[in-house]
Amino acid sequence: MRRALAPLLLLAAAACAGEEADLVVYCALDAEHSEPIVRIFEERTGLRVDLQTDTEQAKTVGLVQRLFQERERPRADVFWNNEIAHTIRLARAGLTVPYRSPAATGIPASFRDPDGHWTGFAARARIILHRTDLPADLQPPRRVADLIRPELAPHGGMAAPLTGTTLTHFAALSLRLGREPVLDWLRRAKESGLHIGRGNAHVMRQVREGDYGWCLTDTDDAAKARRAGYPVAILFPDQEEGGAGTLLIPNTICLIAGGPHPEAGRRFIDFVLSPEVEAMLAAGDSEQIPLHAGVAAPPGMKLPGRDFRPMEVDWEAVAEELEAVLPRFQELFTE
Amino acid sequence: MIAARLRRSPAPLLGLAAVATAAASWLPLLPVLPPLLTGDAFTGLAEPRLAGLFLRTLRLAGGAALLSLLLGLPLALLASRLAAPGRSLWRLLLPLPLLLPPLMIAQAWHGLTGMDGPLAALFALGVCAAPFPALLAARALERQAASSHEAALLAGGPRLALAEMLRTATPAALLGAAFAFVFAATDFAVPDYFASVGEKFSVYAAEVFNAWRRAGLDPADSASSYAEGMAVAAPLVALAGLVLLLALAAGDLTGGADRGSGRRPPLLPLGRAAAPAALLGLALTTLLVLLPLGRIAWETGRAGPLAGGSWSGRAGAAFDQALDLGREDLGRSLANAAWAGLGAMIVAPIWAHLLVRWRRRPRAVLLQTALALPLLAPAVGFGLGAIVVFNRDLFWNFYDGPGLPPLVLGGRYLPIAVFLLAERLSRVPREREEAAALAGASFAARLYRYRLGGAFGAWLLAGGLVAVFTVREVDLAILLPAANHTAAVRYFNALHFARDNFVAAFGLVIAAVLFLPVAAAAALRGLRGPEDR
Amino acid sequence: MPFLSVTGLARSFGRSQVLVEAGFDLERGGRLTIAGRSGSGKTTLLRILAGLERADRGVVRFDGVAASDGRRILLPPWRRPVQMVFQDLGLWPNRSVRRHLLDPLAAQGVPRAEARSRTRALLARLGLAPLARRRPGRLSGGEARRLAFARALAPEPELLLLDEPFASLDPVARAEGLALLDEVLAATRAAVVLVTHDPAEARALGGEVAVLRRGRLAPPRPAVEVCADDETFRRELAES
Repeated sequence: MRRALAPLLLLAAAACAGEEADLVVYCALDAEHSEPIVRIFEERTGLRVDLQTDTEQAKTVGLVQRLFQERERPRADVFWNNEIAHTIRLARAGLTVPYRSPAATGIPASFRDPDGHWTGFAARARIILHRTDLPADLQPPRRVADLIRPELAPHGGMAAPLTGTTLTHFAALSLRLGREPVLDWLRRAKESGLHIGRGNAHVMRQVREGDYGWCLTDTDDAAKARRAGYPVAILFPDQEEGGAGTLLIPNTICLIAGGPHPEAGRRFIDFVLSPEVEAMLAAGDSEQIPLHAGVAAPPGMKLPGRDFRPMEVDWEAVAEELEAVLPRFQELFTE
Repeated sequence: MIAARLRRSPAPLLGLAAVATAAASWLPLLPVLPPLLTGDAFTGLAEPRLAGLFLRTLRLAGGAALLSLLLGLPLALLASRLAAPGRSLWRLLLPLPLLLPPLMIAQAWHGLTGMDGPLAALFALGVCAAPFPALLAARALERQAASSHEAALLAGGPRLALAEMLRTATPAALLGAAFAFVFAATDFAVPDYFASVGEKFSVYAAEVFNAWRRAGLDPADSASSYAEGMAVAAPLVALAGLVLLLALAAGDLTGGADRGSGRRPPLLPLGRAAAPAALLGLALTTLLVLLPLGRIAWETGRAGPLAGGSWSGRAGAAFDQALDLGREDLGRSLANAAWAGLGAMIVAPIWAHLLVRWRRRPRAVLLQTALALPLLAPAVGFGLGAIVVFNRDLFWNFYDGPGLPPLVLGGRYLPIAVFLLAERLSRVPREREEAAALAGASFAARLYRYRLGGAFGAWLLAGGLVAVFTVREVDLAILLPAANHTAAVRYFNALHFARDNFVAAFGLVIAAVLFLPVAAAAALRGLRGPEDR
Repeated sequence: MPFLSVTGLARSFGRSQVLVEAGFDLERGGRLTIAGRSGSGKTTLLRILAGLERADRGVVRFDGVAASDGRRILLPPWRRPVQMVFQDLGLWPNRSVRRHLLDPLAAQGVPRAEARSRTRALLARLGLAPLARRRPGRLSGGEARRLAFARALAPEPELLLLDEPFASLDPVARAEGLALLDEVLAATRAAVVLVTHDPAEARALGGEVAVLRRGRLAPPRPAVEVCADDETFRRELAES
């Protein structure tokens, strides 16, 4: 009996030995990029950071769910999201507090919350990734809407708009073009032969393997395919005269209300919003597009305003639209 | 006097098991349980779309469980009791598919064959789960009374002996197939993957995920949204529970205690059939292990035609990176697994003892249901419940600390250990405990030394399975602070961000590390001498 | 020509030599008790006769046809005219009493109707008919023993091997066991080889008794002589 109890007592002892961090960051960005940045912050400040990362398995809402569930006793100080919609949801639910970082002054106002609850930086663009070895008579669509044209649809793919940036993208389109036209377009997309994948990385892989010619995805996934030596290239859609422009989805960062280390949280936000970190993210293999004016972008990187026209977006309205359309999208794509 | 009586009574240990299980398995369920128990939860099935999803899930999980049985049972025979070449190797490799995330195996099979659609999902889930019936059946076969086998051989030749072996293995294999059903019915990632690469279809688990996705959309009412998530899951929980309870009942109704002399059962001579049997073993092992592992290994150095460098250079870099970035996470995963496995090895036998004692009584079914619930409930719900219970001032350090993951992850997978050990303990002759009781042994000694001492393999397997699932679980891990720094979270984070070389290499590293104890156990078995003695 | 002929049988496990030059003949329908102390190699001898164990040397013949020759098993167990009652009975936990008899008969190609009638008759003869649908787990010790005998008798073997079938029973159960043995002997014309260290069992079987001493089998002598009384039998065994 005593021998049987000993391991349990040890377990209990081990459980109490948890060392408290000086700062807790919930981060939905690729750990391979966020970890080095956090390490630099730790070296410079001497603060110990507990970096909590997210996974696709829980459909990128693992940490968001945790933030909601922990709202009575918040454990996170900062939420660093790799997109924007969930961040706005958190802000609207009262889970964030305003913080206007001095480091964010160089970031365009359209990527900052007017009330200071969140700030956007280092964006990804929603682009068409296409193979460069397509037959001469087969050209990728130049507009998102053209993905479902009968002669093009069987050669292309996109992720189901249920999660991540694809959901945000179609919520933005729904706001811009009207909910019913977008739902109708999605309905037709399902019938058109367009390949509907489980995520952006997934459709990128299909194009990479030559399963189909092009897909709607994000620049970071496209960059990985190109860097891994596959014959692919990027096309910024909806650049024609009067077109909507290409959607840019920024990383966002916010301070959690009632977090245990608000001061350290502010210091971390200042650091992450610095041009230096944006430059690091741009140089990384996910090639995040810097939003600060004047950040040195790697050679070949296309920049908004200079190389392509970004879509103008009211993010608050997009987040609201997302909540309204998600159940409709789910009905459409879960059968 | 009182102390001596207490020592011999099961009450203190039962109390300990109840406290540990309440903390690890039942408390996290409490906040999310009410929606599971209301009849309203099932009204959704009246909706044709949901009913259709439910039926498809039933077919998919049923098919996967059947396939796992069809693959696992022959492999169990070949790996344990048929005198055909390759037996030790099949036995050694048998657990491997359990050590890899099913999604990884699904991707490997798609890469190998281009398969897609619901049949591909059924195939992948069946292949991934085949070690469940195979391992459990192999263990049952290895403890068949030698005389029982020999009597069959004398009375009816190899055919009757083989039939008797199948009957011996069936209850355990059915329990394994029931576990396969539970995992297939609740899996979302594999069907979702195969639907996305080909024919479109969805499963009920997707609807559960959708409910979690909607959860919190209305900030003012997030609690009811979480309840909706559990309510949507209720029919799935009920279905999986029903299948598990039926398998347990089938096991209870068959057989009794092993009455053998303890002599190891001999191998069945196959004569001219030995060569085809060896080929079948090779084919099954290739299907379950070698092909998917080979494909994953190839993925470690894979790149496009325009990439510089060699395959081996890239693979080497991927393994370097996996070891560099994942080493500490894997260490924490293994620590969690060790504690969870050890805890299960202490607590599960106590419940198993009670289930055996209450065998064929209604209260045994009640206890089985209560014990099974943590495994059947959606992992996300279980994790959210754990937050509600443990994110309190009282547990401020514990919630963040390294004690919570092994407790809650172990609590979720405890039922596997309990049911496996209950099946095993029911075969241990009562006299073994009674003799120890007469000799004045304490209840703990009777249980752990005299009854489990002779069933050490099953005891280790029970702890080992809990440990493996503790390492593999990600949906729950993402919700527990200290579990965030573990191998599963890093693996799925990298998978999400398309770090394919790293994912393949890290997956193989995790599987290899988990495989080490399996190989060590096999080596120990080898040292104990050949099984055909 | 004897029905069963055993010559020069030897078997060792590691350094322990269990059988040394054991040999005997048995006529069709003959009765032989192999007596010896625990661990003297009695069971090994029986298992070699059944074809379940290899010998190192020696030959086992049935009607002059070699079944085992040295390390080679020429006739596998299921091709020998042999059935065996094991010390731990070796019942099949997942088969009913009825199936314990029916399934071996079916496996041997006995037509279904005949198998059924033989099963019915044997179960009735050994008092198992009311328990036909039970599984071994729900039988008493005595009932389980009866079932083991019934299963061995069902295929009508020419040689019945009994491996200490009544060992470690209380006096009442042992008396029942001996009565059962009488019933069994009346029910079969098979030759019987019984392994035991109990004089009462040897007396009940009758025929001859061969004592196994340090792996060497003494020439068989009439049971009435070796087991004249318990003391004589004990002395015979003690010498071994």
